[in-house]
Formats: sequence, C-alpha cells, structure tokens
Amino acid sequence: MLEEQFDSGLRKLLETYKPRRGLDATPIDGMPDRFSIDLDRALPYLDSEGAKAYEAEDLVNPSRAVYALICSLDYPQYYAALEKMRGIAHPSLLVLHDYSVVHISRLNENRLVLFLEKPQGVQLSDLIARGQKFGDTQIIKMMLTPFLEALELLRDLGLSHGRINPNNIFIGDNKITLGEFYSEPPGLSQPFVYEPLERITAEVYAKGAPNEKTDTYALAMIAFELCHGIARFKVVTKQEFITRITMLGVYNVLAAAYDVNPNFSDFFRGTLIDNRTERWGLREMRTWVDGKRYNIIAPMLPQAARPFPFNGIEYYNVRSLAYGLSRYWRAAGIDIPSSKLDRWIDIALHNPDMGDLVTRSIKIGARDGSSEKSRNEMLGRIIAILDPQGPLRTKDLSLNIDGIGAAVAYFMIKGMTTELELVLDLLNADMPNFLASLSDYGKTKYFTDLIWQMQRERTVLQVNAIGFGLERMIYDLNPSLPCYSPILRQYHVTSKEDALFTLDALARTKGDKTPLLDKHLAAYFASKINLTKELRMASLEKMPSLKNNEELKILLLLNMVQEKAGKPRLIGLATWAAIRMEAMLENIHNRRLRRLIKKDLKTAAGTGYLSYVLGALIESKITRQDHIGFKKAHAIYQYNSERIKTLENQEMFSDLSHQMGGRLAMILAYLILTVTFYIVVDQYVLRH
Amino acid sequence: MARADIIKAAAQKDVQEQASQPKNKIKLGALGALCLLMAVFLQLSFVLVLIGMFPTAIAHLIDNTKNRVKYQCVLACNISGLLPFVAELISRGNEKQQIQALMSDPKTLFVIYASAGFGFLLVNASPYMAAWFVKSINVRKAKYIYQVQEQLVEEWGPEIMQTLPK
Repeated sequence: MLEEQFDSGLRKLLETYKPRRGLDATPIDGMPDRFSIDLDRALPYLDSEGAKAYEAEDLVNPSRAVYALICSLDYPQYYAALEKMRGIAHPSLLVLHDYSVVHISRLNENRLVLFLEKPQGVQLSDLIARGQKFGDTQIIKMMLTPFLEALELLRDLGLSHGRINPNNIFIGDNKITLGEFYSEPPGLSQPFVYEPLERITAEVYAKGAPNEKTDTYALAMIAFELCHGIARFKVVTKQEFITRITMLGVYNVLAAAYDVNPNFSDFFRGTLIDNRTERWGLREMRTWVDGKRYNIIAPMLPQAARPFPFNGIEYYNVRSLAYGLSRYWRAAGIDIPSSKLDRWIDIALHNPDMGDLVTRSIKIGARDGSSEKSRNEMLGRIIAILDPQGPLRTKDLSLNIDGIGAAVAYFMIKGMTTELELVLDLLNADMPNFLASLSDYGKTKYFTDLIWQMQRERTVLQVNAIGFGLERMIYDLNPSLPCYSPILRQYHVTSKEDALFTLDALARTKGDKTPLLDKHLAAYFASKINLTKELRMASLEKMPSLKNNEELKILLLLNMVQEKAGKPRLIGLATWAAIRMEAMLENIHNRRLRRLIKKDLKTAAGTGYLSYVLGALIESKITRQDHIGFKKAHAIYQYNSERIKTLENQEMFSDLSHQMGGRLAMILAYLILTVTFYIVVDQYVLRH
Repeated sequence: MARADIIKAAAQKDVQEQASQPKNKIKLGALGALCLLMAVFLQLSFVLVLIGMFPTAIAHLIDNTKNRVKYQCVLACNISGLLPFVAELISRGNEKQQIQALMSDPKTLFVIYASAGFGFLLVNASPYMAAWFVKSINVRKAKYIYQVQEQLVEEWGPEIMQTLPK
C-alpha cells in the first residue's frame, strides 16, 4: 500500500522536541530560591482536613519561621481565598507567603503547596484543656478585638474565615493569631460546635462559602467557651447537638446549662442565634466591642400550640421537624403524605401559606406513581418550606446552595456516583431556585447569580456532546478546581494555559500512544473557554466517521483553547495531535491523499499551531475531493468487476465462439466460392 | 409458466407460422423458377447440378438455425466443388456422352461431395478456431482490467471492493 511505506516523521519530531515549559520545570520539594520543605518534619497540629503540614525553610530570610501545607488531591481547595490572601499581612492572621504547584518527591506527584508564616505560641485548645481561665476584658481586648479587625480586613477582601476554632487560634507572647482557612473546602474541618445551624446541618464538604455571620457565631461560641466552657456539648454527637438546638435554639441550650456572663449577654444573644438573617454580623459586633450595649432579649423559637408527632418524637417547631424529616428520610417518605402536616402548620402554627405550600409539595410525591425520585423531591420541598434557612435536603444528603459545587467535585473525586445522581436530581428539579425563593438570603446577588448558573448547568447536563455533561458541570461550578483528567491529574493544572503547556511537555512521553480522548480534559477546556454550543465540523459533513469522531472534536476544542490563550507555540502538543490524526487518516480513502496529508501534518505540527494541524485534514476541499474520488473509483471498480465476470463467463464465451465461428465459416465458404468462380470464369470464359 | 402465458406463447407461434407461410410459398416459387431457368440454360448439365447439390439439400433440411450458417457454408462449398465440372461440360458443348463420362467417373462426385463435406467441416471447426481467438483477446483484456483494479485498490484501499451502503 502506498501510505504504509511512508513514515510521516512525526515521532522523530517529538523525540527531538524540547518543550518551552518542561515538566522538570515544576519545582521539587520547595520553590526554587524561596522555600524548601523538610518532609521529615511533619507538623500534625497545623494539619487541616485537606492538607498536611511540614516544616519549611525560607531561603531568602532564614530567620523567618515558615511551614508548608501540602494539599491533598481529595478535596478542592478554597482557591478564591488563596488568590486574595497571598501576601496579605495582618498581625492576627497567618501570612500566606506564597503557593505553588510543587513536585513532592516522596509522593512522586505534583501537589499544591502553601507556604505560610509559622504561628507562634500554643493553640487555644491546649490552654482550654489545661483549664486556663480568661477574664472578660482579656477575652474582649486580646481576642475578640484583634480578630474582629482581622475579619474586617477579610470582609474588605470579599472573604470570610470559616475556620475559627480553638485548634486554629494560636496564642503567643502578646500575640494572638488566626490560622489559615484556605487549604480545604470552607469549613471542612471546622468542629460542629463552632458552626451555626445552617452549616452544621449541611454535609461537611458542602457547607458553602462562609460569611461574616459564620465567623461572628464561631467567635461568640469561643467566647462562651472561655467564659463557661462547653465541654459537655463537645461529648455529644453532632446529631444530638443539632436535635437540641433545633428544638430550643442554640442560645437557650447554652443558657440552660450555664448562667450566662452578663458582660457578654448582648453579644451571645445577638450572635448565638439560629436565624441567619437576625444574627449579628461584623458591624453589630464592632459597635458592641466598642462599648455599645443593647439589652437584647433572649432569642426564642416560635413554638406550636400542639406538637407534630413523627417517628416517635414530638416536634414543636418547624426547624426541628425539618431536621427530623431529613434524619429519618425513609420514614418521612412513608408517613408525611398521609400525616396532615399541612393542617398542623395551618392550625398549630397559624401559617396557612406554609400549609398550602406543603399541600402542593405532597401532591408532587403522589406524581409518577410515588417513585423514589418524586418522593425525594416532595420531601426536599417540604423540608425547604419548613426550614428555608437550612440546606437543601435529599435522601442522605444536605447541601447548602453554594456548597453544591464543592459537593459535586468531592463526589467526582471520590467516585460517589449515587450521590452525584442525587445532586443531579436536585438540579433537574430546580430545587436550589425553590429554596432560594423561600428565604431572604436567597434573594441576594450572590445567590441569584449562583441559581442562574445552576439553571444554566441543567442545559449543560442535557447536551450529550463532548465538552458537556456532568464533568463540565463540575468544572463550571468549581472554576478553580484542577483538571482531573487522567493525563493531567498528577500535574495539578489550574488554568487553561497551564494545561496546554503541560500537555505540550507531556507529548514526548505520551504523544506516541495516548489518545487525547478524555471527558475531563474536554470538560475542563470547555468550561475554561465557556463553550456554549456543541462542536460541529461542517466541512466533514460528507464523512460521518470523521464528523462524529470525538477525539477530533477534542482536538478542535484544544485549538480553540490555544487561540483563546493567545496562540502560544506548542510543537509538542501539535505533534501529539498530528499523531492522533494520523490514526484518523484511515477515514480518508485515497492513499495518495493520505500520504500528502501525512506530509502536511508534519509541516503543520512543526508550526506548533493546532489550527494548521487540523486544517490538514478537515479542509473541505480535501475531504470533498476524497469523497467524490472514492465514489468514482468505487463505481469504476464495480464496473470492471462486472466486465471481468463477463469475460470469464464460460457460457457466454461458448455462445460468442459459436457465433463468431459461424460467421468465420460463412466468410471462408463464400471466399472459396468467389475464388472458384473467378478461376472458372477466368479459365472458361475470359480465355475463350 | 402460467397457463395464460402458455396460451399466449402458442398464439404467437401460430401468428408467426401464418406469417411465414406466404414467405415459404415465395421461396418455393423462386426455387422453381431458378430450377426452370437453370434447366433451360444448362440443359443436360442441370442433371449434374441436381445430383451434385444433394448435400446442400440435406444441409437445408437439417439446419434449423436462424442464420442457417451450416446450410450456407455447405451451399457455398458445394457450388465451389460443382462449378468447375459444370463449366467443363458447358465448354464442351453440353453433350450426352460427356455427361455420361463425367458421371461415371467416381472422382467427379467425390470432388463435388468432398467440397460439400469441407463446408460441413468448416462449420464445425470454425467455432474452435474462434474460441481460441476470442479467448486470447479476453485473457488480454481481463489482464488489463485486473491491473486497473489493482491500481484502484492500491490508491483507494480494499474498502473499494465492498458494496457501499446506500
């Protein structure tokens, strides 16, 4: 065959190519000339759920104490905060000196590593454990005031901490410091006691972004702990704690156990409440710290005139009932449709509007023959109606609206497909919008933007094409998530440019055999360039095998990314793409054309631009020429085959021989007669 | 074959036979006229013609083919064998003794009948000659087409041999 004898030379080109940004450019165990990590000296007290802490050295300023946090691949980090916190200096906040993707020699993997100021002193939790007492002034002046300043700085940066707890507070000589909060999804390792109700009830990985009220709540709880101790609450389970505070309200639970310090009663009554709208923010806390007193009455939960019995427990308020329903989901699915919950809300709580909404939601449960999906939707809606400030609930899952992104990323990383399906059901039922429409906080711009994005993701999920689907939704909802493609995962790429350069560098080792057919890769790039339409190749209309080739579509996508990234020259990636396309050439019938394209591919790959590589194959002139030529050639071949059949047909051959033989015999016979006649005439007539 | 078709075919045959009857009459008339003309013109030599053309008459009877190749070949060869003797007789005055002498010579009828036999031989042997000729042409043609096919496969791949989906 013509093309088999021809080597395109693409592999040789790869062998000799030296990428602009090689893989060996990733720093090893540190940042060159800045920091080095001592992997033998772990600092477990500085670990977070999403990162392991190690001693580090500042190579520029060795007297500065630093430590390194090596982030796990199991959780998405809080990238929005990382970006903003780099280099921010505040006496009560650990300084994030820098962060970078570093090759960790022991793991033989690239990981995101944060280099932070090492906190001085001891953890507040140690002091509490040792039974150290703190005076009121000490708590306000030494802790609340500097932390308030730090939180105000964060607010100005558009951030909140979300991980204020005694383990993450360090007290040194005249210095109190808040630890970092960005090495894990917001609130992942925050102990439940320091989280307000709307965050404890959500899964730890789906709490969503913290807000200033999350932080004031945590500060108030720490202040309460320093005043009175909360050891008795630390020994109860999370479910028990939630049950108690949903029944009575967090302040009442705490106040029932202790005589509340009157100097802090305003602060505790204003902050330790379960209604996120009414809870104090930084502004109210500032005025209180500055000396203003309010004389706030103790927060009370609205209680029903008579209880609602469910699963052996009597509930007196809707929030505790909502928690009870979500905790005993299966029982709720069976009981609630026939429980006259709507009547209880109407009569015992005097809330006919809420009762109506519950009635309508129960009807949803009766739809589709009471399938599990519609039952889940019904219960999710009822719980949202009962507790609009709480998270979205579905079977075995509770997710805050702004925690859905982190949750889907977590499920994807952990391979939790059942949970992913449940989230998809929530999105398809437009539950985030439903919950947001019921609450005040859901109408803020932050949430309306989120809801809009989630509604857009529903269409992304419906498109069954490369660059869309579940993976795309994950990257859309987590813009800072690194690419989890098997090709790129270990290189921790966090931008389209990084991804392109990494692929370019990887081409030498992977380009020969590894297909670029990967849903994550496609979804990652599609998300980064905000691809809204399915990729189509009009010029390949006549060649369905190429038109529907998914790898070719990914190459087309890569080309778009290269264009959007400012057209960096990527010979490695272009050659990789050309090698992949070489394999697709079997769709081109004409061997001479194949050979020409192979030649073109090498030239195009040498330019480093994917557009040229793609142009070598998907140019309509070439494909049309091939298509028409093939049809013609096929017709000729078939015609010739028929001719050969005819020529080799013995029956026809015999008939033809007889016909021709007969004619030949006649010709010869008449020829003989003519000659005889001539001779006779010549002899007897002409001579006489 | 359906009964209706059989009837139709039979009817067509009847029509053809009916159409050929006047033609046969014309042919017979023409043959009669030719014989009369020859009898007048050849006189006694006509007897030789009648005896000599016997193989042609047989060929005419046994050849039912459309083109009547066998008959025509035998006719042409038979005349070729007969013609020199008739010319000899006529040139010698068409006398009774001459005819008797010629007829009594076994060589005369042998030559005339042998020439007719050659006609039979020609008809039977020529298809073999033609077959050899046609075969050599076909082989050459097929060889060329095979070459073209090979070139097509080389250029467009073996998928060209498959039937394209419609």
